[in-house]
Amino acid sequence: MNCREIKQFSSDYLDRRLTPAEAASFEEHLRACGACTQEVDFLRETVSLVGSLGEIETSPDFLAHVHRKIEKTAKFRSLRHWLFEPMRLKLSLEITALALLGIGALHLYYQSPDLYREADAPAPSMVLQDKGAEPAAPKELGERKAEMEQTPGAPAPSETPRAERKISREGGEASQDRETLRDRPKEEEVVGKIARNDGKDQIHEVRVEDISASEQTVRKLVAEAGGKVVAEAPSSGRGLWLTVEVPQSRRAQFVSALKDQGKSDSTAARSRLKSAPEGRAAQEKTIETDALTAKQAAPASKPSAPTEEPKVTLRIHIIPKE
Amino acid sequence: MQGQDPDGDLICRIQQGDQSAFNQLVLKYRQRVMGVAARMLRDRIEAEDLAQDVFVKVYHSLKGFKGEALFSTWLYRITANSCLNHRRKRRFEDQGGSVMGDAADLLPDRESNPHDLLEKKELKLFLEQAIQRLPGEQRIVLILRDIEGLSYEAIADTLGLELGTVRSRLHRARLAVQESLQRVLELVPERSRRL
Repeated sequence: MNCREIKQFSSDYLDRRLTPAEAASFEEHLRACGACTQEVDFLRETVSLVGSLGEIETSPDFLAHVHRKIEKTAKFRSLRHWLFEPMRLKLSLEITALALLGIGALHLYYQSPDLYREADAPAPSMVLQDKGAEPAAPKELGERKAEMEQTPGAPAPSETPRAERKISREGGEASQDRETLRDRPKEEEVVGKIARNDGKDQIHEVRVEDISASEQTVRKLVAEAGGKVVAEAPSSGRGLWLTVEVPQSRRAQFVSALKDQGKSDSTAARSRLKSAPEGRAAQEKTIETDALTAKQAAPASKPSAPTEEPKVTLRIHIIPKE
Repeated sequence: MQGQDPDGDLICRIQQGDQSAFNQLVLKYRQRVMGVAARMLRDRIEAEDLAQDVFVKVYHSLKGFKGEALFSTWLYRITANSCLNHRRKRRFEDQGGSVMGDAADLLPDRESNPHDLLEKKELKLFLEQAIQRLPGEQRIVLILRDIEGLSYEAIADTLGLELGTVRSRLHRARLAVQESLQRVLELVPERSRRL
């Protein structure tokens, strides 16, 4: 060994961690090198001095303090143990439970949209919001007049149910409409109102003598339009809210048929729905009392393709005629 | 393993709820734990607080002690980790202040009579200062080996280090302390060097 190695292995030598051969080589060098011998001796003395430092006393009430701390931490540890031990099992269970709660809450929220919309819904006379409909092209808007209720307000029972209004409808577009009504049979008179809400939405209200019969008719119209009723909720005054989805291309016909539903022959309204072509362009229609004529005149329209076609959501408010 | 462990019986009794056995354990090891804590931290109050916390951890963790290592090794592991974590949080600098007091001004100048200057107590203080000037990773190894008497293997197990790492850190720590003491050792007579 050389002097550099002596310095490198001096701790190992003092702690007897050298092999016998290494130790022999180490000692052989020490015999020949006074400087290295002195270095090793200094190191030996240093280690000895450090080793003689001994223990350090604690305060007399050390044990009492330990017990006090144990009592303090015991409750916390008990709760932590209950919540998290065994960690893998309980933590995963708790996370799963929280996730399920969150999913359940979201599910409830999305399943009951009407509960929220009902609270925000306008006063009884205001009706549908036509969702998914596109804004009307300017020129079409300009061509139409609307007789509407400006704001979601009271049903205005004094409003004449026999007012004639013109409806213009664009397939898939919501904006202003006019409705033209003719006199209807008294017992199934339907009053449809179309109101404008900021020029974008339509609301539709149906006043009927028989809520139940009207509901059934509406459901049939929805089915025949290739749509579905997604929610229903009672409204104040024995009325009924129906939220429906119909293919966008059938919306115009559906709404038109909806307004016809009060006719004595309920099939007339359905026939109109079936016979009317899928429309997109704006047109003014006058609701005819003789639905059979319409049925015979027009070829059957092709069935809707609900699965692929975009749907619009409509809300129909069926209220008793006062 | 608990059968070979000198503390095996105490451990069993504590695990069965014997409070007095735990007290015995605390009284047996408190100074050793305090010795490590005091030399790793700079503040005596903090060191004692940490030492108490070590025994609280031992109390709560003893149920899970399987006896794969000696209890003393396990205890030193908790102590060393607590000290190192505490230092990391407090970001100690290895400068100034000492749990042993400030002995820096006790270093004799060359004109003084070394026989009058250094008593055992001062030498002890000087040594403690030298140890506290070591970096934490070297200090803990030196304390466990040269003060607490743990083997290289036990130190490696306690600190989770390789044997080679223990060896090199220990050697560097010893050389650093030796360098600090070089002048004092030259001046202090042989008969005064045993504390």
